Amino acid sequence: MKKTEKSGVKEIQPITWTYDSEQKNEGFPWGPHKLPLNMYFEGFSLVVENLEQGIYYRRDGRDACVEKTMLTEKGNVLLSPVEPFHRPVGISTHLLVEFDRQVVIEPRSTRSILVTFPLELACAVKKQGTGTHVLEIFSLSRTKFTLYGSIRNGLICKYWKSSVYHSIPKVNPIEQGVMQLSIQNTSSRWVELNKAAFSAQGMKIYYSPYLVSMKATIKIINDFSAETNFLDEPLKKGMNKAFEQFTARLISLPAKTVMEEGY
Amino acid sequence: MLDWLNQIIYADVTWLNLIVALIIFFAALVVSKLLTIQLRRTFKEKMSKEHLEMMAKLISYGILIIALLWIMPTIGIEPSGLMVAGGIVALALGFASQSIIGNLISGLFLMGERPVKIGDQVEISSQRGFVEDIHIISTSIRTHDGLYIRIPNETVFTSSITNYSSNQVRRLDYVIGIRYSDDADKAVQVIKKVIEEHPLTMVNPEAFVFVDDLGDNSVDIVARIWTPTSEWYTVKRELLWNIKVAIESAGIQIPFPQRVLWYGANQKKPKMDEETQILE
Repeated sequence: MKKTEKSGVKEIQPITWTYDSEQKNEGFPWGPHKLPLNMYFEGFSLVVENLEQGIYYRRDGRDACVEKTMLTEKGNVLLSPVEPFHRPVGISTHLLVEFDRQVVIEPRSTRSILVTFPLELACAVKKQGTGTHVLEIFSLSRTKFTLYGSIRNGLICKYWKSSVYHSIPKVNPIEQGVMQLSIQNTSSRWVELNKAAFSAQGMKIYYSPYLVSMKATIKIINDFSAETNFLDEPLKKGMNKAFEQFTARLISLPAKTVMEEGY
Repeated sequence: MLDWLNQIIYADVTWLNLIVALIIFFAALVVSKLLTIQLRRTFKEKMSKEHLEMMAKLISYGILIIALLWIMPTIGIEPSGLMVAGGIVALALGFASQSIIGNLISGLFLMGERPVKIGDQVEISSQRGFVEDIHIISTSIRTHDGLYIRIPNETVFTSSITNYSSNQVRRLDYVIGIRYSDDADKAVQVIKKVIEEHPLTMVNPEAFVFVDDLGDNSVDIVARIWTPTSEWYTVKRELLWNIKVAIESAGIQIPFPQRVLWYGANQKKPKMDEETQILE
């Protein structure tokens, strides 16, 4: 790696990563990286390197420029997709995925569809003996919120509109993931499904260089109620498990979401 | 040397009894304090502040009550004797401290009914601010300009309470006036786009933007926008200016109040466009 001195911080030749050009890529974003790291993604860059005083971190681009100095000796940096509930802070613990076209499912049957979901990225410093410390969580996907249920007792959910797919779509894995949703219609009627709400608790995200995924289920109970949950399985073999931020913190939040206000 | 410890102070109570009682009481105080600190630290991110505070208070008062009941016989007070004396004491206290009892009972009802929670933004008896704590006798509020206000629970209980935080979402209303010569449909579209682009405006309930009034000086467009309750003020601060900038960029202007004066009977009445130009 070529290094030049500029204003006290060593400049490292950046590694460019684009999701639509696998041949050009020199590495992939997820997982632990040895320092120094200088990765250029579409629209933003990450620089993490060891200095004499500690570790220097800089994210530049999109909406902000964030700089941090960690007073520690050498460590590794971990970049991982995380549950999309950290930015903005503390507003929502649920995700509502609205389908761009209605899904109709026959009585007493189970079928699977694929939808997309928004992602957030966690950059953490990892050091043996001291554990992992999250430096920053940021999102590159569009943020919107919606209310599921009543104004009094409803759930504020992160809103995401997705197309319905039957094979894995090509999406930018630093912005969106792909969710396999298994729909189980336990009722004796045809059911029309327009949306699904999920809890942040128990989201099991897996990643590979060009795909971030999770698996979820929705069980239709009757005309108005359904129940969603997650499966701890990757969408493809060989995928790695992402860093879990919410599951570790919010033990009181149930993993299942009961949708009693329609679907 | 330590004979004085066995010296009787009153009834059968010696100095040793008194010291033991004091040690137990202060130990209970320390234990309750340490336990509540540890409890707050452990469950800070895992429980709501209100439930955590209630649990901390219950544990703290519980330890102190147990310690008091424990040391009572040591200092010559029999809890069973208190039961007999209780009736007379209660009667005397009742007369002497009517307002305290009233506040106490109101506090218990407030804890049961829970019209406000710690951290809620409320208006109680014309005082607006954030609920800092709900004690057994009073409720403390931090006003928006940083003042501490203590309101007796009886006042809280008997006043009408406006709780700005009790619902999940809250509506924000703007009235935006445009010139009569501007295209109102275009203005509505521009405002809708600004609202949609803001990350903290809700998809559902949907925002409504429509011409509400043909006013004296402007065509008034109303925007009714829903936001998460916790973000209401942030959105209120940011969105109005964004709307102003966007509609002006689209060539639409927000007019000043204006009055047309006519002199003489033979003056020609200008057309609407000429009138606008004169006033500009």
